[in-house]
Amino acid sequence: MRAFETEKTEVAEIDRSVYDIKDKVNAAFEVNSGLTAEIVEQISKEKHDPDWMREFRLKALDIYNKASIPNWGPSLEGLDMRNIVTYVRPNTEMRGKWSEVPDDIKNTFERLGIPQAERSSLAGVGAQYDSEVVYHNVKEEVAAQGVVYTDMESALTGPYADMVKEHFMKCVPPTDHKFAALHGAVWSGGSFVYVPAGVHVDIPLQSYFRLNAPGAGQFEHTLIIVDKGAYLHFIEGCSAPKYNVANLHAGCVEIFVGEGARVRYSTIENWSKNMYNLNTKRARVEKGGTIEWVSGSFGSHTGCLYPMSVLQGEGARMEFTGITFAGAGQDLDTGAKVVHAAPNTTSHISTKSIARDGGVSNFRSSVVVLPNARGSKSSVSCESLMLDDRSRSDTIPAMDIRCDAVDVGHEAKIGRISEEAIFYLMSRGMTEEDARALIVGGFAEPIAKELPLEYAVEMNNLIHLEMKGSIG
Amino acid sequence: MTTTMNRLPVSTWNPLGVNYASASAALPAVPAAGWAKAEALSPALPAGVTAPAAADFGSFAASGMGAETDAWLAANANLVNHLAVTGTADAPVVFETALDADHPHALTYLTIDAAAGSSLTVVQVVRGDAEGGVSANLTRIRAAEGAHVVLVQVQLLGNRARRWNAVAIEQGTSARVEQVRIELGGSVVACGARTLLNHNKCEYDLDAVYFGHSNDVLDFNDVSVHTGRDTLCEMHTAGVLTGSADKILRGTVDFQRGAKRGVGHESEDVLLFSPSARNRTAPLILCGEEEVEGQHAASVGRLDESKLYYLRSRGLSEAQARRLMVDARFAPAIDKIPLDSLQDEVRENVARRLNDELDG
Repeated sequence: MRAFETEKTEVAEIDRSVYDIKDKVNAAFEVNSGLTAEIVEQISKEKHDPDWMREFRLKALDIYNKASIPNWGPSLEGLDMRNIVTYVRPNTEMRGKWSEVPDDIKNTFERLGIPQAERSSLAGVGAQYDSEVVYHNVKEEVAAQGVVYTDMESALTGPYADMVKEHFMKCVPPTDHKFAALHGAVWSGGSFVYVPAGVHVDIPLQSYFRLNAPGAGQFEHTLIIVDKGAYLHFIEGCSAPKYNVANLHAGCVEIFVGEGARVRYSTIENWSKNMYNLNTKRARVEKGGTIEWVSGSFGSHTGCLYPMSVLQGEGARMEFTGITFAGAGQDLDTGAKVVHAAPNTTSHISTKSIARDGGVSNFRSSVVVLPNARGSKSSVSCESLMLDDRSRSDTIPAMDIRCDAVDVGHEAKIGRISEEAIFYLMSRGMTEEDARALIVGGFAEPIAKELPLEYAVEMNNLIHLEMKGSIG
Repeated sequence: MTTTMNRLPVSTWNPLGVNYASASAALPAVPAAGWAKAEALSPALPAGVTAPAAADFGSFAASGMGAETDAWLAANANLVNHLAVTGTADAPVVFETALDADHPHALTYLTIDAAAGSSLTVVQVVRGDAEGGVSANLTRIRAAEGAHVVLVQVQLLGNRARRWNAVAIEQGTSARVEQVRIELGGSVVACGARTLLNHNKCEYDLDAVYFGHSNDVLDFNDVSVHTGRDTLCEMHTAGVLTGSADKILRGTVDFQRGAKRGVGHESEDVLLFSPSARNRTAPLILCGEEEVEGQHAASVGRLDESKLYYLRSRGLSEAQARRLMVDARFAPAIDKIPLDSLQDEVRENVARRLNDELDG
C-alpha cells in the first residue's frame, strides 16, 4: 500500500517533541510555591486588581481551604499544592503586534503554528505564556462589527469592566468545587469576548495557552458573552513541555449564550503528560440559544473535564461531541453535564473513548431534567474502545429526571477492534499497526468532522502518533 | 441502622445522590421488643431437594446491598431456610409469607446450594400489609458447575410495609442463574443483587420490574462482576413511577481483567405517569479487559403519544391503552413466573395499581 506508506511518512514527521521544547525559564516575577493569603494578596497586587477582585480572591481562598478534594474520580494524590507556583509572569508586557513579542516566546508559538493559523483561518488570536497573555489581536473588520476580544486583565479595568464584574464567576461560582475556588483565588490571564447582538463572527477566534515553567499552575479565565442572535466559534488550544514534576491547569471558561445566539467552543487539549488538568467549563443558554462543545482530550497525566450546559431558556439546545484518547500513564476522566431548566430544551451528548498501553479513559456524564422542563429531550451516546487488556475504560453516566413530559435516551457500548476487520485490511496489504490506526481513525471520524479542517488534521495526527507502536 | 447501602461500585458527583442509598431507605430500627415472631416456612420439597438445618455460607460474596447490610439481614432474620439440590427438581419450591397485624415482620434468610449439574426453581412471594411492616430478605445462591437456578421474587405488599431484598450469587463453570424480581408494593423498597461470574461460561439473567407510587422510595443496585471467560449477563428492568415516587436504579456490568469474551447487556425502560415523580438511573460499564462486549441503554419518559393515539383509534380507552403498554414492558419478567395463578395475581395487581392511578 504505497499510498498509506506515504501518509505514514507524513505522520512520522509530526513529532510530539514540538510540544516538549522547553524554553529557559525567564520569568519577570513569580510567587513562592504553595497557597497562602499572602500569595493571593501578592498576585492581586501584581495584577493591579480592583478592590472587588482582591476581596473576591480572598473569599475564594477561604472557600478553597474549607472544601474537600473530590471523593470520586481519578486520584489527585500526586498533586501537592505546596509545590505549585500559582503565578509566573513572563518577561514581557502584553503585545498587540507579533513582531514585538520577545524572540524566545515568539519562537515557541511559531513552532506551534499559531501565527500562521491567525493569518490563514482566524478572526483573532490570544496567546498566553505561563500566567499572562503575551499577545492579543483581532482582525480590524471583526473589531469594526463591535466584537471585543481582549485579555481579561484589560477587560477588568477597561470599558467593559462593569460587564466583567457582572458575569465573572457567576456561571461557575467558587463554591462549585475545590478547584473552582482555587481558580477564583489565583486566576490570571485568559480572554474576554463580547459579541454584540446579531453579529455573526464568520471565522473563529482562538486562544492558545502555553505553560513553560516547571511545577507551575495555569489558571486562565475565559469569559465569553454572546448577545442575542449572534454567533461565535471559539477555539482553545493548550500545550506544555513535559517535566518530571506535576504541573496544574485549573482554568475556567464561562460562556453566556444570549437569546437565539449560538456558540461553538472547540478544544484540542494536548497538555504534557505530567499535567493535572482540572478545568471547569460552563455555559448558560438563554431562550432559543445553542451551545456546541467540541472537545478532544489527548494530553495530561490526569484530567477531569466535563463541560456543563445550563439550558435556562425555553428551547435552548446543547450538543457535546468529544473524544478522549488515553495512553500510558494517563488517567483521563471526561464527559459532559447538562441541566434542563426550561421547557422544550434539547441536549445531545456523543463521545468516543479510547484507551491503550495501560491508560485509563473514563466517560462520565450527568443529565438533569428539572420539573419545569416539560417537552425536553436528551440523548447520550458513548462508545469506548479498548486496545489492550492493560488499559481501562469505565462508563459512568447518571440521569436525574424530575419531569414526566420528557424523552430521555441513553446508550453506551464498549468493545475492541474487530479481528475480522484487521484481518481484512491486512489481507489488502496493510501492516497490523496501520490497520489498527485506520480503524481507530474511523472510530474518531464523527468527532473529527465537527472540527475545523486544520484541527481535524491535528487530531488525526495525534491519533496516528498515539497509535505508533501499538502492536506488541 | 446506619450502613452504606447499595453503593455504586464507582462513585460519581455527590449532588446527584446516586452513590449510595439515601437515609430514607436505611435499614429499619429493631423494635424494642425485638422482631415479631413469624410463622415458619415449610414449603413442599420436590425430589432431589433437601432442607438441611444449617449451611456453610460463611465467607460468601456480598450482595448488591453490600456486606454490611447482608450481615445485618442474616443476623436479624426471623425466618431461616436452607435448600440443597442435587438433581433436577421437577417442581418449584415456593415460599409464601404474608404480613398482617399479628405477623408484621418477615425477615428471611435463604441459602440455595445447587450441586454440580443440578436444577432448581425457587419462588419467594410476600403479600399483605401491616403498620410498621417489614419484609427483609437475604438470599444467597451457590450454583456449582453446570447448575441452573431460577429465583423468582414477587413482592405484592401494601403501602404501609417497607421492603429490603438482597441477593448474592456465586457461580461455577457453565452455571446459569436466572433472577426475576417483581417489586410492586411497599413505601420503601431497597434491593441489590450481585453475582460473581468468576468461572468460565457462566450466565446471569435478571428481569426486574417495579411500580412506585405516592411518596414511595425505591432504591436498586444490581451488579454483575465478570472475571471468568465467556461469561454472559443480561440485566433488564422496566418500571412505572406515579405520584411523587422517587427511584434510583444502579446497574453495573464490571468486566475485570481476564474476562475475555465476556458479554454484558443491561437496559432500563421507565414510564413516568406523574410530573412529580423522580427517576434516577446510573447504568455503569466498568472495563479492564479488551476482549469484551458491553452495552447499556436507558429510556425514560411518558408513553409514546403516537402509539397511544393509534391504540385509541383502534377502540381502546386511554386506560386500556396504557395498561396494554405497561403489560408489554412487564411481560418479560411476569412470563417467567412458573405458576399460572401467581402470574395472574401479579397482572391483576399491576392492573389495579394502574387503575388506581388513572382513576385519580
